[in-house]
Amino acid sequence: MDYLGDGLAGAVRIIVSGDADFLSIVSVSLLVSLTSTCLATLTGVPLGIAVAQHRFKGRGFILMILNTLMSLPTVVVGLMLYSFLSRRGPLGEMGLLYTRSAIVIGQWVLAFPIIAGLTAAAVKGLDSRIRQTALSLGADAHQASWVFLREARYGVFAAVVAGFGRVFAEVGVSMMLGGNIRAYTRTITTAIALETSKGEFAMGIALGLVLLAVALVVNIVFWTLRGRTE
Amino acid sequence: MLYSLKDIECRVGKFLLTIDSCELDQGETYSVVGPNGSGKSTFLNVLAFLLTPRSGELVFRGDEVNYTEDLISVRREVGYAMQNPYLFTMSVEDNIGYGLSVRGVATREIKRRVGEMMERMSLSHLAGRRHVELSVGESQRVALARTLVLDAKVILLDEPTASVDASNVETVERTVLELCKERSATLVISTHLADQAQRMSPNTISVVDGHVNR
Repeated sequence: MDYLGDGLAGAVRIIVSGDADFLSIVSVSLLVSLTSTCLATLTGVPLGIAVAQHRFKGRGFILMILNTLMSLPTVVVGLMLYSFLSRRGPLGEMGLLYTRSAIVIGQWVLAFPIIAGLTAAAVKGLDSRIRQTALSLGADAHQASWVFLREARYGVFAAVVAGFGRVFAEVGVSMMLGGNIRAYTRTITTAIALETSKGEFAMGIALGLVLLAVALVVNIVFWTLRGRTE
Repeated sequence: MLYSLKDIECRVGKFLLTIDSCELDQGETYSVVGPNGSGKSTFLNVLAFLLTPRSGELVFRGDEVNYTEDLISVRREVGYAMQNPYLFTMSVEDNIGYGLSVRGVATREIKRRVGEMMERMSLSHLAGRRHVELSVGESQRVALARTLVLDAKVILLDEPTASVDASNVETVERTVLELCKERSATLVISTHLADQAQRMSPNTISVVDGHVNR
């Protein structure tokens, strides 16, 4: 039990002292995860709204694909993208493998279906009277669409938060596409795997605590937003 | 003549509403009566320009309504409180002021008019509350205030007191009639209550099995 206690004490020391390695890992994690979540939001939210609001050929197929991709294992995404980005792959000349951009691309693939799918579900679940109420009160088509989106805002925020939660805690994509390079592509999850294999429990626990704290905040925000929609 | 409807047929799903001939004058009050499911709400939706008839002619203020054009200008002449109203996820004040804000009315003016209307409708005690904190009856009165604050020359009310408790029905009816008189507005109110129809107007439009008789 001593090593656990020592590890925890060491973790607290690392967090309190603001260890340079520790801060670098946390900042890289936040940077790539926030970037990929932003990109997934910009692409996934419009798709989710379009799929929920319009009936067109292939709509059911898109929803099925989105739902399937939501639970895609991160190592499978890592493996697929690795085959594209590796030197012998079709996009190998771009030199993206083992860069932060590669992690962002991989995380976008993970977050996009979650954000699009949950946005579609949130918009689909909205009251059918919203648009007609707005029109009956004198709103033009744009104003009616805007109030419709406004009513969906908590559901959309919840989708974005869920997408962020997924990419921040993933390890497969970051490891396979980022390569776990110190101070460049080393994220919290890849660092935990590395430090634990080295027997450096203190750093592993410190990073684990950050991950837990972020997961807790994400969950609190997610459930608060869900509660507001109900 | 405010409205003139001739040979109108309007379909909503499997339901068909037909109007052979119906004319409504400016400044008059009309009660639309009929049993549940007869088509009263559909009729009011036609008057509010929210439904497009598949045939017939609807003339509003002397001009035939062209449904291929943007209907925003004619819709803004009408204040319509639907049955089973939806309140936006906003405060009571923002809900009541919504129609004014989409018309571009200045924020200060909206605040003043919303405050006045809340006082008139005995809703001042609901100031600052969110829509989820209201009872069904309070929601209906807020939705009514949201329509009446618009200063429209045509007011359409679909079962406006269906969920309102008896003690407030009289306030609602009195306020509606006073406002219509002050503004020389046309009032069309649908109700399934015969005594309310009589109290609100001697002019009755009956809707039976999807057919409007005036």
